[in-house]
Amino acid sequence: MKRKGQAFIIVVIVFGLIVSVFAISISTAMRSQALEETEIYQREQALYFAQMGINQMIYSINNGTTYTNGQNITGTSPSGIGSYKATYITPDNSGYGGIATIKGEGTVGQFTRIVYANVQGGGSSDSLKYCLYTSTGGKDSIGIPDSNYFFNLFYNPSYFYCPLGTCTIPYPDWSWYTNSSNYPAGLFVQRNFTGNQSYNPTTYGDTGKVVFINYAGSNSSDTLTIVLSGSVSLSLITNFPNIDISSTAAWTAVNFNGLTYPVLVHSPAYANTQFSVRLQGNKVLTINGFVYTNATFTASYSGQSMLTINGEMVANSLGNIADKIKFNYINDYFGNPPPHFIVSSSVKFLPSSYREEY
Amino acid sequence: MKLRKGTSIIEAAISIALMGIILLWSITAYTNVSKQSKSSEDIEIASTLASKQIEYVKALNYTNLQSIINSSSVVPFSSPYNNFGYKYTNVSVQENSNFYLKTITVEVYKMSDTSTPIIKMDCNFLRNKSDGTNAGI
Repeated sequence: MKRKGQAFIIVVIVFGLIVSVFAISISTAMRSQALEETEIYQREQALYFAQMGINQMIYSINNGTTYTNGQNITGTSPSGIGSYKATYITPDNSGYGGIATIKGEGTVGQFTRIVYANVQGGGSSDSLKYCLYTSTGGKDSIGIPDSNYFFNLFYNPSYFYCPLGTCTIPYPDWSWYTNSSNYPAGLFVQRNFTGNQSYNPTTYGDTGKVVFINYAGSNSSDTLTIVLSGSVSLSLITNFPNIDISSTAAWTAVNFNGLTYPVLVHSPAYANTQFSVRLQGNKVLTINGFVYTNATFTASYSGQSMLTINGEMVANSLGNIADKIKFNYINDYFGNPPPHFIVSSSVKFLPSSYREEY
Repeated sequence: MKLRKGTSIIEAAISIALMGIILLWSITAYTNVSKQSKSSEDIEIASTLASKQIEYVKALNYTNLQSIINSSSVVPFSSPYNNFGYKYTNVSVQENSNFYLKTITVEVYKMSDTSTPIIKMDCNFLRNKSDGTNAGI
C-alpha cells in the first residue's frame, strides 16, 4: 500500500511536468506571435516616417531652402513614437540623375526603413524656353527679321526672346555654385583676384573644369578679360563686376557624369556692370551652352566677325548687340534645366521615382 | 495496517493538492496568454486599418484633404471591422503660395474603449496648390 501511494505521487508529478512543458510551449509560441504582430505595426509605421522625412524635405526645397550634398533634416513624429531623417544627395553622389536624390529613414523601436526618392525639377517657368531672356525684354530693334538672329528647335517663334518689360530672370543658387563640396573631386577650382585681370584657362590648366573666379576687390569698374583660343571646355562662375571677351574660339560648357553646367554664371555684386563681347577684325566666337549674366550684355563687331550662342542666354538687361549675332536654341533647357537655377516662385521639384532599400 | 492506511490518505491528499495547484497555474497562465494574444491580434487589425485609412487620405482630393481637422469623436470603420474606430489628431499644416503639407496622426480604437487608442500612426501629405495633385510620396 505504501508503494502504491508513492507511485501515485510520482505519476502526479510526471503529469504536472508534462502539463507545465505543454503550457510553457504554448505560452512561448503565443508570445512570439504577439511580438511579431507588434513588429509588423512598427515596420509599417517606420515606412510612413521615412516618407514623412522625404515629403518634408521636398516641401522645404520648393519653399526655397537649398541643401548641399549630405545635408539632412531630422524630426520626431507628432505622436512621439518614432523619428525620421532625410538626407539630400546630389546626382553625382547618388549615381542617379535628376536634381537630387533624397534618402528617407524612418525609425520606430528597433526598426529602421530606408526609402529613396529621386527628385526632378519641374519646368513650370517659361523663362527656360527662350533663345534670349532678359529683364528688359528682347533684342534692340535693328529692322531685320527675327528669324535671321533666332532659331528655336524646340519652341515656337514666340520664344525667340522675352517680351519687353514683362520678365523676371531666373537666378542661380550662388552658395551652391561656389561651394567646392557640391562638385565631384577634382572638378572645381577657385581663383581669387582683386583687380583688373586677364584670364586664360589654358594657361592656368583649368580647361575641362568648373572654375570659380572670386573677385575680392571693391571697384565696380574692374574687368575680367577672358582669353580663349581653339576649342575650350570651361564652366565659369564669377562675381567679377565686368567681363570682356574678344577671342576667336569655341567655348563649351563642362559636362561631367551626365550633368551639364552652365557656360557662364556671372553674378556681380555691383549694379551697372557689363558682359561685353567685342569681336574686332574677323573674329568668330561660338558659345555652346547656357549663359547667365546678371549684368548688361553688349556685343560689338567689325569685319566678318560673328558671335553664335548655341544654347540660351539669360541677361539682366540688353545693350547694343548689333546684327552679327545668332542664337540657336538647340538644347531643351525647359525640359532639362541647368542645375540649381531658381527660375521662378512657381518652380516645382517633384519626386519622379521611389524605391525602398532592403 | 492502520499506519499504512493513514499514509495512503495523506499521500492521496498531497497528490490531489499538487494536481490542483498545477491545473490552477495552467489555467491562469493560459488565460493571461490568451488575453495577450487577443491584444496583439487587435494591434494587427488596427495596424492594417490605420494603413488603409492613411491610403484613403492620400487619395482624397485637395479640398477634402484641407477639410481634415482634429476629430472630436471616434468614427467606426465599416463592417466587418465596425468594432474598431479611428480618430485624427495632431493635425497641422505648413504651406506656401504653391505647396500644402499636412501632417496627421491616425489613432485606432476598439469601440468598446474609446479612451485609449490601440495604435497611433503618423503620416504627412504634400500637394500642389495649383491643381491639388500629389507632390510627395
